[in-house]
Amino acid sequence: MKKFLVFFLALSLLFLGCLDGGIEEKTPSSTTLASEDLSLEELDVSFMLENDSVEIGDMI
Amino acid sequence: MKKLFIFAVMFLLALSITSADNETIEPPEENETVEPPEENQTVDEDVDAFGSVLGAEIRLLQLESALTKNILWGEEIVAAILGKNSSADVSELEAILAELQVLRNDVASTAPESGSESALLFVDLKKDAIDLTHEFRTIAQNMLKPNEADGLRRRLQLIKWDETKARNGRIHALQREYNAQKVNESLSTIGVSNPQLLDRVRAGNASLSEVKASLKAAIQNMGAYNKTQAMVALQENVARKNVFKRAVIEKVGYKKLERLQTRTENRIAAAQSLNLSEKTHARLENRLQKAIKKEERIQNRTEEEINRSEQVSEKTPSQAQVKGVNKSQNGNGNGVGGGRR
Repeated sequence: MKKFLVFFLALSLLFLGCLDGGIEEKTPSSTTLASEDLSLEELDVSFMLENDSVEIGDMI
Repeated sequence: MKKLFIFAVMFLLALSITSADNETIEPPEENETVEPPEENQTVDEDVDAFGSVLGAEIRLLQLESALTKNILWGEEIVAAILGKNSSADVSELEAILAELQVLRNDVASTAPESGSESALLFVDLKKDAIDLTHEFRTIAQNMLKPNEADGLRRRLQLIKWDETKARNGRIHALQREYNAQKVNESLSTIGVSNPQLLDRVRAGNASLSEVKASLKAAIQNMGAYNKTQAMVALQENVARKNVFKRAVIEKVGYKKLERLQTRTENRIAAAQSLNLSEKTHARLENRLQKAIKKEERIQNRTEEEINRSEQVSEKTPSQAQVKGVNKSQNGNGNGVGGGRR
């Protein structure tokens, strides 16, 4: 019983740590040229979506 | 024991739900007034498109479409104000509408070109559109009760304007072609050809993540040397784009007054062809002159501040100078002006 409580507390703390940004999405800060782990973010492709528009605000 | 375990699982579940709730971004209310995003943010996004003629054409058409919609809304709003009180003075609102029409004609007659000059012109035109819209909204809201303004906004949001339908259809077609062009550029940069993927993008059937996954797969299938080359080429592309963006953003504040004066003179001349009443025309000229004077004041104030800060920095000796003076004082007792002999 005691062991389980200790385990549960440790698990909760670990979980809270993760929620607080302890574990972040792995994105390389600089490009490793020949890296096998090529991140999608490094591919500078973006789409102009159909709802993309030039916003100038409403008249009322 | 079992109960305790269930309790623990429930507790962790509750924690994760609370955290997910905190991250939710509330969408704006449907009938709220749409405010344009911060200037720097939009400059950044808009300028990107001016890397190609097609992107420039899309941005200009989008601005023309937004202006057309606002002119139609403006006419309805003026009619509603007059419907409420036929003797209301709407000449200022009419003058703003006339200016918006001249601005729309300016946008429509601008030839789409890629490059920083074209991007800068777009930034200026869009800024004028935002300022005019804001000015109109402020005056109109003062002439209507809040519930009347809300009701009018809701009614106008429901109308599908024929005038903008055709233009929006063309914009969507160009957007797909623009996306295909961008994907093709990336494929060419890494030296890969994929016509099927391009066709799917052109038809609007490929998602961005799918395109990225294809590019990633193509790079990962390369040998080590080619992979390095491809990555360097992609990085160069990103760097080139950033340099272009920075160049435009730096130019935005440069010769702002001269640019405004040119635009204003052109608009006063163009307003002659509009069928405006004498009063509205006089208001319009007055507004344009006021805008120049306001910009002049801003520029003068900025220059004064720059001069003042330069004078302060001249009067205040730098740390290096102070160190030098102290040294000479300690060395030969001559104090300031002792210097070298």
